Amino acid sequence: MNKVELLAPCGSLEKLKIAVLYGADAVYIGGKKFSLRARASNFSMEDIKEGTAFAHKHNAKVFVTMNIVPHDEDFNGLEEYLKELESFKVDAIIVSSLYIASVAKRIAPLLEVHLSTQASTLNHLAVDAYKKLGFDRVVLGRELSIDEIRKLKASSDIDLEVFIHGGMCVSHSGRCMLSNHMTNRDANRGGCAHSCRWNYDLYDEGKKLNDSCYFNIGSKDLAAPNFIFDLLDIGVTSLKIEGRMKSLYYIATVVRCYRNLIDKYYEASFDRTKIDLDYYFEEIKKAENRQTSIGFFNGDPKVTEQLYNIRSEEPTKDFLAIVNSYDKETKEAIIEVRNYFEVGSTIEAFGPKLENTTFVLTEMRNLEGENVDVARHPLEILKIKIPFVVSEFDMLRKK
Amino acid sequence: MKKIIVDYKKGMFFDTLVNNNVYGVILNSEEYSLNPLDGLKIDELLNLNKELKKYNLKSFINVDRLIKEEEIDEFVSYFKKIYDLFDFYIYSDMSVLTMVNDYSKLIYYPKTYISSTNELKAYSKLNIKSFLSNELSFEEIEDIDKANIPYSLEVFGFHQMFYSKRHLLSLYKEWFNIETNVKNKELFIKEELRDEFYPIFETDKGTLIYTDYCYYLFSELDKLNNVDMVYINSAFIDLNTYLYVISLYNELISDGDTLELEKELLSIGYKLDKGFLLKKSVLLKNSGGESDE
Repeated sequence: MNKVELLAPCGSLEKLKIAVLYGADAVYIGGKKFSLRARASNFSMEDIKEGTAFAHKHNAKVFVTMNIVPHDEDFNGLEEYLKELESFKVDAIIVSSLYIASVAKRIAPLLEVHLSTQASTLNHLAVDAYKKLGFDRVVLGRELSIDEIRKLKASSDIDLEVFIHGGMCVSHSGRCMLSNHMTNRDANRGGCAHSCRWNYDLYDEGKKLNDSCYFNIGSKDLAAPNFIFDLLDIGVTSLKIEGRMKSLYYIATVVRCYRNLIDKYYEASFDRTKIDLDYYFEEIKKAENRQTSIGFFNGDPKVTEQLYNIRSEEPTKDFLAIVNSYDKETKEAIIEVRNYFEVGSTIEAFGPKLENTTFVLTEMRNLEGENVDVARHPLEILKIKIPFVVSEFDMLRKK
Repeated sequence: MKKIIVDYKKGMFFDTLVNNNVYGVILNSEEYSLNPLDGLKIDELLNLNKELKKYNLKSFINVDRLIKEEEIDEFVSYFKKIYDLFDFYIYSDMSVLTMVNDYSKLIYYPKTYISSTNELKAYSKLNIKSFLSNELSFEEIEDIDKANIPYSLEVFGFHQMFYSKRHLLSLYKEWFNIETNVKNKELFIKEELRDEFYPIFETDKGTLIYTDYCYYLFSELDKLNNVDMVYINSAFIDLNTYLYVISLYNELISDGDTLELEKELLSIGYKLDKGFLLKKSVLLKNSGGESDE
């Protein structure tokens, strides 16, 4: 049986390692050029090379996003860039430009070429057309229901990738000019100003229709644990998580959650009626600071899929530290602090091979061996007692 | 010679168009075009197509919206009924490529994607004509023009800047119990910190948001040598004004006095703006995106 690919976003080399270790079968990253998500695209060529080697060592693939809608000035160095990615053994590029795809096929034939969701591909004939144009995989638009994906897959013989989690463009992807018109920042070249999440008033012939609340058009993020088994039944190639801008903790939590869920499906004793999906939603909530919904998976979105009364979205401070190492004899872990905690805190540890396990922090020291009551400096290295074995890259969070 | 193409609007006389050297008329499919107004049922399309031929006007059918899998079978049936009858097919869903043998009748108009010489070339190699993106500066259009590949431009009209499959007005109406009808009707949205009123329109196909101004590329047209077709968009423009605008573009293309004609265009009573022509948008601003790869 071909196992589905779990595809995770990575905005840095550290996140790439975490995604792979927490269970991603493939990761997608952006280089300095040709990629949307400007702030997320912080992989130097050296990082791409190192990240690809790391991922391959752990049997994971690396896809590089080159998904801008390019203008003339954006093509400088394209061929060299593609050749270099190929020489690093990057597995695929994700593009929306037919031209970039054709150059990649000619210059760097070992790279697979995946059609970006920016192309908003929503039916099997469009998929066929892109296949004939040389694409190896199509990332489907997010406006399809599960039934439509099933029908589309039944009529297609090309790899299909489906978003299962993360932010949703409320516009058809690649077709939005709101940001550009309103702020001169081109969303199709990485400058999206999130204009769809702003507050608007709605008018009819000069009369304001919204009295008590702003008119909003934004959508909730997608969270699809309850559709994973359907997608696996359908046989799509890849399940994709959105969010190259997301934190290390978010990546670890969400990837681990979907990894676990997918693995259950392939167990011999799998019985979907016995899977407690609430557990997975609760797990995701621990790292999620935005409202989620099911997008189009059950058909046209209803009011429950829309984002009204937009609240501010503060990053969660539940992520306390990441483990650097653990001494089994002294039961002491060296950790890197991320958020405030103190002796006496109840902490949950989790990791790629560590089930959620709780302990109360009794002892904490700095590297000079002095006792510390409070961890308040992000990135500070401390030693803490943990009564069970933890490993490098395990994480600690508030319980 | 640049060819003028225009939308069909009810009440329009074709001889007026002929007198203004119009090359062809776009018939907007009620079911499959994104034009929120002036959509035509298939019988109307077929009848108008015959009429256009009598006037020696080219017929363009507009089926430029994206098609979902649940709609694709119906779209194929629809397309079979119209294929080969019209002179050109304006589309943005790539499924169309699987339904025709002769790509030379296709005009790709996805609004954003054709933003470079290379992209234009890629489609031209397939023998597909393309509209350039509406997000280009004039300098960028001039650079593309130098490639000697024919292309089309939307030179006038309210630009669509947002296209969602979601029924955003109906959902909001439901959520907040608004009594006013919001469907198939031009409403406006205003961002809390800005003064502009953007037209918003919901149909069965989804929700569209337009610029608050009517875009015009006019005096600049002289400097472009490889524009094949210039499209004058009629959305939200009344018929008389629309015909007047067509006449101004005809005079411009026929070597009229550019400055005088532009003055006349600026006095039509709509808010006009040159959009991105004079302001280059920002590449890779240090910002996050919403939700894509």
